Amino acid sequence: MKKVMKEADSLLPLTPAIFHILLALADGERHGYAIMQEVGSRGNLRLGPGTLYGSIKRMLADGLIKESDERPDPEIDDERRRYYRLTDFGERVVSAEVERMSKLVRHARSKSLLRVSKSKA
Amino acid sequence: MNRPKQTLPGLDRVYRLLLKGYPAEFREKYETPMAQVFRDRCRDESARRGTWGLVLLSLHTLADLVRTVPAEHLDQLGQDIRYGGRILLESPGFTTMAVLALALGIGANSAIFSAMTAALKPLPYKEPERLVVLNEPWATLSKAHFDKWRGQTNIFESVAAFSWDGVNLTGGERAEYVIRAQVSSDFFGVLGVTPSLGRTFLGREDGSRPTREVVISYDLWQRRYHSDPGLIGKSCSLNGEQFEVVGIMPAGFYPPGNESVEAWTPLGWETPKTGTSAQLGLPVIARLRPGVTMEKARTEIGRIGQESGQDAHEDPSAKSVIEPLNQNEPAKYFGPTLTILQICVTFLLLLACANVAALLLARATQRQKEMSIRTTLGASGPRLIRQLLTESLMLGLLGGALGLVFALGITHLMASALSSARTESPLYGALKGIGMNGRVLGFTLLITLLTGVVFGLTPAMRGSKANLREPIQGQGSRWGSIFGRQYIHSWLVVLEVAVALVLLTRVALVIQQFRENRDEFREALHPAQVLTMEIYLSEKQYPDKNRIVCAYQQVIQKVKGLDAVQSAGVLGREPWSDNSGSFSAGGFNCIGIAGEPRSPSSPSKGLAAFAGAVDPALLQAMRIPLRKGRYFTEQDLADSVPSAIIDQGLADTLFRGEDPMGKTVKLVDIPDELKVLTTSPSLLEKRSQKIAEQPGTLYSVVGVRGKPVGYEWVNESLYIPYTQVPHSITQSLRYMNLIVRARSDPKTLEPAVSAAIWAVDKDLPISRIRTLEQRIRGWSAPERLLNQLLAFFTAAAMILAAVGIFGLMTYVVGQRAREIGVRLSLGARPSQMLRLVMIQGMQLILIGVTFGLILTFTLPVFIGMLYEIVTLNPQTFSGGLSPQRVMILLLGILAGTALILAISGIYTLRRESSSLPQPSRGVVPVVSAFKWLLGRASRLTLFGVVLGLLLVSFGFGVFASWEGATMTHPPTFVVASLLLAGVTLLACYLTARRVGKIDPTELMRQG
Repeated sequence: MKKVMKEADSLLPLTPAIFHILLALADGERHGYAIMQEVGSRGNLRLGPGTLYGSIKRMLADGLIKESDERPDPEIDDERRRYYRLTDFGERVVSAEVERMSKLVRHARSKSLLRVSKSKA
Repeated sequence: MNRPKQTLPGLDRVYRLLLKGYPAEFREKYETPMAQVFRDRCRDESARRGTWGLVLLSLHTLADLVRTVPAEHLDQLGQDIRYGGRILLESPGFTTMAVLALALGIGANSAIFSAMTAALKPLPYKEPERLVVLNEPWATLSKAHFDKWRGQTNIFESVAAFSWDGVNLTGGERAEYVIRAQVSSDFFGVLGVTPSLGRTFLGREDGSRPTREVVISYDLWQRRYHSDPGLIGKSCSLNGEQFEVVGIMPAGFYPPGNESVEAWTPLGWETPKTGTSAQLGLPVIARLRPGVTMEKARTEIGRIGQESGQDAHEDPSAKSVIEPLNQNEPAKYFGPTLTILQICVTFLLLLACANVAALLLARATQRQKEMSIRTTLGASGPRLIRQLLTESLMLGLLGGALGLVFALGITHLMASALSSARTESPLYGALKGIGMNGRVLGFTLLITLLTGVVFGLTPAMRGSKANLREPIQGQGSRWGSIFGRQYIHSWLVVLEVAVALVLLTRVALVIQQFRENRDEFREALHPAQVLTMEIYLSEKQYPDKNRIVCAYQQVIQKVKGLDAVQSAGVLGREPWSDNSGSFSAGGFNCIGIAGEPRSPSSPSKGLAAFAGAVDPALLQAMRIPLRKGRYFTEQDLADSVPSAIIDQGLADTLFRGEDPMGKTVKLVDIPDELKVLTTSPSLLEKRSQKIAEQPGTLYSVVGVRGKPVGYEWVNESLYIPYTQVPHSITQSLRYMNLIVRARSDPKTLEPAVSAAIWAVDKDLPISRIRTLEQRIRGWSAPERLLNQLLAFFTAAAMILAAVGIFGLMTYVVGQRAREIGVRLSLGARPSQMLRLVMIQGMQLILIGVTFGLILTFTLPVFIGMLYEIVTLNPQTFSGGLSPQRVMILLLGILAGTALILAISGIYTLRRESSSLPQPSRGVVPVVSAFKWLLGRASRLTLFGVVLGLLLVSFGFGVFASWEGATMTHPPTFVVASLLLAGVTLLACYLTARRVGKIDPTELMRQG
């Protein structure tokens, strides 16, 4: 377990694209376009197909996600689509990243930086 | 709503096309989902924002492509490099061998390239390509003639004349002898160089009385005047006359043809420059007007020749009167040696490539299982080629990096060897700039990449064609003939044998010639015992011949009086130097010589030749070999019968096979009107007649000496006692070599000899004090160095070839282990197997030797022809591209092409008629058949042209050797062939024995 945790740490910090894809898959498996839509709806990051599938390739190689064998209901399924889901390792990595980020946010808050930006907003 | 829908298929198609930019492996996996995602987005965007949305999406997607396509390629490259690195590290023996071979090949190439760029470095003048030399070896320039050139303003922008001599620079701690050039006022303007301090000469100096101004070199300013910035305006003394220093030239500047000139003074026209022009070799330089070609300039010169009554226009050799300046550079003399060296290292690299290719091929067979597995796992053919090429490029780059270190070592060695030899050879000036620079680095990178592809491509193509069944069935071991399965290995053996043979025989020829040149005089002279120096008697203190002769006699007497001196004397022209580029003492070259008329009807011909004054006793003391007759003796004095020693060349020319002993030669001062710039045959004839007719001083031939081998291009020469030099050419006696043969170490003699000379005249300048050994070594140092390099690289090439052939044969025979096993188990005797294998090895060697023999004859001619065709230069070493040669060349190419086409036609009719594309499924059959034919015909024509060229060059080569040209070195060829055959047979024998000892059933099981 310790070894796996260490590996998870070794992948941090994640690139914005990978982090957002992992977040999008946290709710369950999705196909490429669904991931893109989810990421696009959440913030100002617009993934292009090249970035999306380049990241997916790397995440598959690192074992963060895997291609899902289960297909949805044939009526709504398009067989050209591929579905991906988080692996256990992927979940751990994204948690570790979130933990790292929240630490950063706490640190920023302790320096009263967050308040300043809020008041400006 | 309809419009976006219509644009969708168009955008989709474009996007799919752009996706081709990704690496194949990535595309295979993600092309379909990516296109799907793009379509989904198009649909949503057009629904949401219409056309504007589609435009924004397209831009966004394009940016995404631009960012991610290179990233994916880099990612894959990274993977390939990591994988390749692991593979290379897994077999350190293979990697070391390959990298070392490549480092040797690449390093040798960049070192020689560095030498080439240094030797061919541009001249230190502005736009040197517009500079020309007006040159005729025997001419002296008159003011009228010079003005005529200067008047040609439609061809020349500016024209300058110059000559150089030695002067005595006094007015400091001690007298110093420096080389001075007397130049017309435009000299610096023609070269386009400005002084770093002060000015050059103003126009007014070109009168009959030149102003007393001097421009000095940067080196002289540093050395003698300690870089004193206040020197301008001060005066110095040259030959006892006061000159005002007006300028200092920038560092590195030298006049064309002589890098040792350190002072420039205005040229005076009042005294004709008799006797110096041949040493100069460059009486007039000029800058062509912009846009004026060499051809136009030549035509104009011909026209001027006609106007002055010379028929130069019909004479092809008249071209040599005007030449581009760069052709007069030392690279001209040493170019051939450097070219041979460059060819040698190219062959070395070729052998290294062949060896590494062989190693890779052997590994490709070992790695077939790995490739099969990767193919099964989905790796495509191109993907595997890419992986294998990355590996070979990595090997190449490693080799290149190590090669660069090797090249640095060689260039450093060359530079230090040259500087320690204190050489005076013109090549030294050219090579001292040797070293690493951007061009050399670029060249190294280029050949490294090229090498990586060359040796890697074939193994990669073969390695990637992994047959899934083959490793399991073990069919990679059929008969390995040159037409069989292992043909690449066999051809590599043939290639290595041929290349090694060609290289070795050519290099043996070059080295043999060099040794012959060098050894002739060394054997006779015992140069380590001889001290030489140059002394100069100025015109002011020694105005006439009597005083000069008297001074020399006193000096010789004083020096001979020293205990450690065995003999001493003065000598003009050095018999051991080739007299190119360096100022040569006492040679009065522009002298007419005529033999005695044999009968009134056939008068003797006159010719211009080199002549040298010599101390009567010296030739004997120096042991300069005589072929006939006697040396001068102490009785050959000023008032006795004048006698001369001539060289064999002059004897042959003047007396045409008759015994020259006791015959008379006549020395004539050539009249000024015949010392003009021309090679016109009629003028030469006129000069010859005039020399023959004119009265002159008669000398009786008392001896004939051999002509130094290798210096054939130095004209005929003659020696006379310095006491008997005609009064008209006394000037040439002012500058002589003092030669002292010591009883012990000559270096310890130096102070005593100097003191003895200064006891006669304390202001006599002594310069270039060297032992004769040092002088000879100095002269031949660069050539010796190049020859040593040549020998070293050839030895390296030979070792590479031997190692390569051994490895290849071991592999080829090893591949047949299974077959041998089968045969042995079926009852064949081991000795039969051994014979079979040996015969195969012999076949390869025979083919290789045959190719080698053909190439030895073909290659020099082939390269010569290519050179002529590429440069369109009519004056090259193989005799010019005459119309007949062009005809023969074209016929040869035609014949070669026809031959190949005919053979392939028959072959196609018999064997390949079925492979012609059949009409099928809507394809227009005529077009495809035509395409097929066109492709085939163009390939065949190319082969035909190459074959034709080879045939013609072979013909020329055989013809040239029939006419006496040395094309090969038979002993080396035979020895090298035997050596390579030995290596091949040893490899065959050892492998066959090893295979034969293994149990046949074991072999069968191994597969």
